[in-house]
Amino acid sequence: MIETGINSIGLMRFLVQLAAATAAALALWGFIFSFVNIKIAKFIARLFLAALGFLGIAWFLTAIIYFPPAALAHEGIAIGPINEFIQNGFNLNFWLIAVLLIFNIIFARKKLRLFFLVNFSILFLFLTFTTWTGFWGKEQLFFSLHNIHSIFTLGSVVTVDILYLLSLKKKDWAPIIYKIFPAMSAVIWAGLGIDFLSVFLALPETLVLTPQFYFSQIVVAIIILNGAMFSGKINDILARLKQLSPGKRELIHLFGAVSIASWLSITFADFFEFSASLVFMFSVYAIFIILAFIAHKLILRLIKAGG
Amino acid sequence: MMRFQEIIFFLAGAGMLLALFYLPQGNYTLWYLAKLFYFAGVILFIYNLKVRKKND
Repeated sequence: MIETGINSIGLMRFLVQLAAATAAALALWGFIFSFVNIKIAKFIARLFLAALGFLGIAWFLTAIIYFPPAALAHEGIAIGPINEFIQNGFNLNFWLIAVLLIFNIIFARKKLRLFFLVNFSILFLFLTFTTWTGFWGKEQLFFSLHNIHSIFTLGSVVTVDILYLLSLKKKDWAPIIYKIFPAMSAVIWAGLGIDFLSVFLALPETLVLTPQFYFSQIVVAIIILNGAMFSGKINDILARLKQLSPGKRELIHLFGAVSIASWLSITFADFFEFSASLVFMFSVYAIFIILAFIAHKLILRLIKAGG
Repeated sequence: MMRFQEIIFFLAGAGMLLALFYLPQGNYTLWYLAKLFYFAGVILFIYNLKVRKKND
């Protein structure tokens, strides 16, 4: 069997990060869409609540299985804190999860703009404190910026994907959605910029030239090259609202699949120390791209079948 | 035709790939230069977006 370095704790923490970033991005773009089209904003509110539910379950399971509060740990639980900073984060985020839960039970989808704004703010804080060193220093700033950037990158890429698929089903929403896409691209570009800035805070002592480092760097370069096409030519094609040829439609799906698979791959890589070779990592990455492409095609078929 | 901002992003991406060959020798110049191009691309992208919105 191939030793990869993937473990269940990292997997659960990745799911928490994915759900928090997606929920926060949906809140952000729901807030923006509430000024443009209230029907789309209401649809995003439903998606947001689903993402929030997923976050609640993933966070709760991770907290009770791997990061029990200190008080519980004294009562015979054998699993100690794996990392003090992550444990601190779970202790702090307990209160934010509680506030999120209470707020959404009382205010779910009422006063839409306030609903999105408050949820985004709480989730922003949640990601800020996912890892807490105990005081504000260079290291903490690195952790916070690195976690926050997922809202603007991974979360926004997932949102773009959902909105694009939605535009294929709701043709009258397409012009409104495509008009916002360039602004979403700008936020994704800026989000990756935030991550680059956070990396500068941790340099040079943290730069270790492992196969995993090379993997992440190459995928980031692919994201930039793919994004240059996506945010330029493809946004232009979509904005013109012309009937697309099947070839161009396939190309959009391929670029979309590369984008989402790349963001998921490098976020996933954040939570593990891989022991696999570079060739193995890229093989898995290629499988991710193919799976994302097939998933797009399947969803498209479902949309067509549903009318 | 490619726009200037896209060329800058392509240079940043290609620069990051090329820089990986020099990192083991402890040469970080190209790596930092690629990041610089990236930030230039982002600023240009946001600027062009504002200009286009104004023209619309």
